[in-house]
Amino acid sequence: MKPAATLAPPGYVPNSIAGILYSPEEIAQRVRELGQQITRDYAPVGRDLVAFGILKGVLPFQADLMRAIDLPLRSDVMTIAGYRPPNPDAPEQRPPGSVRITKDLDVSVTDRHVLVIEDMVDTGLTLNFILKLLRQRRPASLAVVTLLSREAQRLVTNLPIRYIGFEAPADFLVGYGLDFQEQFRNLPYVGVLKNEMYGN
Amino acid sequence: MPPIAIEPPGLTSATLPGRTFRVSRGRAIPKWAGRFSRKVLDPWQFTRFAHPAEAEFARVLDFYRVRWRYEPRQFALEWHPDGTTAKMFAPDFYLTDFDLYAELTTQKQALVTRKTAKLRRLRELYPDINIRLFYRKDLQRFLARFGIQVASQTVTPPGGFVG
Repeated sequence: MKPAATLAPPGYVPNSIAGILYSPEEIAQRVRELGQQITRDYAPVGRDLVAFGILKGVLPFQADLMRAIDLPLRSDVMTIAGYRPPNPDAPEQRPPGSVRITKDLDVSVTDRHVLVIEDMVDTGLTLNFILKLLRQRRPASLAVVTLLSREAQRLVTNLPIRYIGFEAPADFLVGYGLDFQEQFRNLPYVGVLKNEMYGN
Repeated sequence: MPPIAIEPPGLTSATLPGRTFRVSRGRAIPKWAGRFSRKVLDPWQFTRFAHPAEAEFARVLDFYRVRWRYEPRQFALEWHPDGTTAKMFAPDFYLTDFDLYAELTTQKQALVTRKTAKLRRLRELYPDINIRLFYRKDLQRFLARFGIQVASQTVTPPGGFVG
């Protein structure tokens, strides 16, 4: 890991960041490679490719990856209501009881080749829910591209993750879409959050 | 009113025909204790966890509709010369859908050597068992994504923590 101060203008690296794991240049290079690989693999399917991301963390990666794929494709986004713990100060405000879609796809995936774009696959719980849902819609094929993968923490195995940008270490990563309490998504690099920000 | 242990972990009212419970402040109360509703209870609502982080972990699993059981099985790791079991290990969670055990530890990294050794032994003796170990840092990171902070290693109160 590189010291944060050496790779970004002074003042642009928040004090909460321990260091930069992947610089903007390294990310751009890897995204280009992934785009080329996907272009090669999906060239035979013509116009039947649907690529969609799962908001919000995926936004920068999806925007960059789509432009690196040299194929006609349909793009879309999906939003999932993430887990929220019960608020002990306001017990009447009950959080959602189970995972649900808050913004579904606008394009049909039936009989089309579907590429799910993820920022990070960790335990795989969210992705597992989405893939189960998509399989019911009978796509022609289903694959996942993720910028970061943390295989060591995977609870759900046998996920069709075909393209991986980087293997993620055990640290809490932020930047390039990844957040901590909705902050740091706009950082142009992937950084490591200082442990004291979330641990004790 | 103190928490009432109603059924063994891993069961829901859906699996108990004829039983109904009501929930008061996150605790399951049998209908014969008063008013009742037909709400189907999640297992964490009447499981005693050894640590609050385990209760949070269970809630997240429930949220993602992943079926789990809490400490459902003990594995023998060492035996006395007379054949009786000398050392056992009970992983915290079994995820039924994925045929996977998950062990959580909230101890600091330097203190997990014994647990790591147990897991290594488990894998040697039971190579077909799939198990994932979540260290304190992994748990902190996993739960921090949902805005939950892992408490330090605590003394488990009598009866454990209720989800």
